[in-house]
Amino acid sequence: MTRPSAVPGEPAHAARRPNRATADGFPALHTLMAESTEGLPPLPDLVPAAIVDGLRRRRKRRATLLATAAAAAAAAAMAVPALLSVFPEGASATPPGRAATTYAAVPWLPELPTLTALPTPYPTAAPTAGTSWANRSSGEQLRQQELFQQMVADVLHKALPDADNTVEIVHGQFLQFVVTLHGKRYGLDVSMTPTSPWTLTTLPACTPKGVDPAGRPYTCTTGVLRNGQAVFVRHTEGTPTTANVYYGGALLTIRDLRLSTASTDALPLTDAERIALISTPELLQLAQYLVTHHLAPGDPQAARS
Amino acid sequence: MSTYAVQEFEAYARARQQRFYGTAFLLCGDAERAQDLTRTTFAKLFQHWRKATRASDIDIYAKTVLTRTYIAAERSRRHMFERHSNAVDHEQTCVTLLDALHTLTPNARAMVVLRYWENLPIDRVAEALSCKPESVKSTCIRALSRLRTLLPEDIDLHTMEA
Repeated sequence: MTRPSAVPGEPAHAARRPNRATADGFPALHTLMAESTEGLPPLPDLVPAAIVDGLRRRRKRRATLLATAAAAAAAAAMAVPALLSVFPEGASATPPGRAATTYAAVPWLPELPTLTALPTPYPTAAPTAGTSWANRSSGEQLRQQELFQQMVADVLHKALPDADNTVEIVHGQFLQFVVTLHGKRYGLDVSMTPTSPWTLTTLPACTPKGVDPAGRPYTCTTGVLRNGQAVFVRHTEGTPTTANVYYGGALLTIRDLRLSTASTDALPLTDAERIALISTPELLQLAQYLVTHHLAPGDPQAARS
Repeated sequence: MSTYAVQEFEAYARARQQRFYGTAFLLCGDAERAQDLTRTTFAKLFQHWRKATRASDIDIYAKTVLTRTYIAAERSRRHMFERHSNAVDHEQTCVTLLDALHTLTPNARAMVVLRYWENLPIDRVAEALSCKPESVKSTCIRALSRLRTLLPEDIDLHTMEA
């Protein structure tokens, strides 16, 4: 489109019109400007298009704001555990009133263990009850499961508080152990179960005291892993004491095990010691290994892996 | 947005669109771009209509939107086309006010249009362009001086005193 001259039909500088007074006393320029706009083509009604544009802009802005807010919330959700994980050794990442968690001085998240090396052989204790897990496995898988139990026993032996402790593998029961602490024998059950991707992988909030859905009173102590995951130790009346944590797609549970129906002795461990035991990095890595390699007896994918 | 607010906006925009079209034309110097600029200004105004109606002077608010939209568009245009390369030729051939205005920077052009076409006081111009009143004053003096040199001598601009 060609630029219109100041006055249509004649050169701009040739036209002189009477000056219009302006508020500031610059009439000539105002007049020239008025003349320049006189030659404009007619303007269609811009209002409907402007309203459509305005609505689109408004929707876009709201969507951007929502997306920004969601991104900020996601970043905060990721940053908080990350910040907790960078607390230096000795600094408390747990809120006041919660049990402190102790960490072994080993590298965090090293390579997953390979089950080729033979760990220290542990004596075998008599089975407690139930069917043998070995019946559901065979061949190479069974050998790996036995080695895996040996490794867990090895970790428990190093992590339990009494230096003179012993750990026996319960014959026929996967990941059940008999430990001797201060000269006395106790039962210990370790459970490593895979979590499905669509279930929550954080434990629900655990109040220090409460009543469970079955009406039984309980007490709960909380700890925090360096990656921000919560660890709970729970004493529910009439049930074994349990320690739980989610890690690497696995729910790791350590619970007291009665050696006989007449026995009521629980492991002589404080809540802090239980939290330290379940937070042992090697144990967490073994739990992750078990579920990622579908090594557990009865794992539906075990045959395919 | 309520139906009343939409009707209120429609009435305002219809009453002002011709005037804003003229201002937009003086700013950008092209009828088609002026039309786009006016439409974008009204779209922005509609987007923030509640805020606009709360402003002390809705006309000044709308003119601020117009000039800022123009300056933003001009920056991206200049960035894309680097039009400064033919500035010398332009100076030699310009005979109309629009051509003379075209040689000014977008900011200076917006100041001249708001100050001498819209008759806004200096502090309002400064407010609309987010700068100091002194800056508006000095830029207008320089812009008028440049216009005097570019426009033919027989056009009497002696009444223009900054």
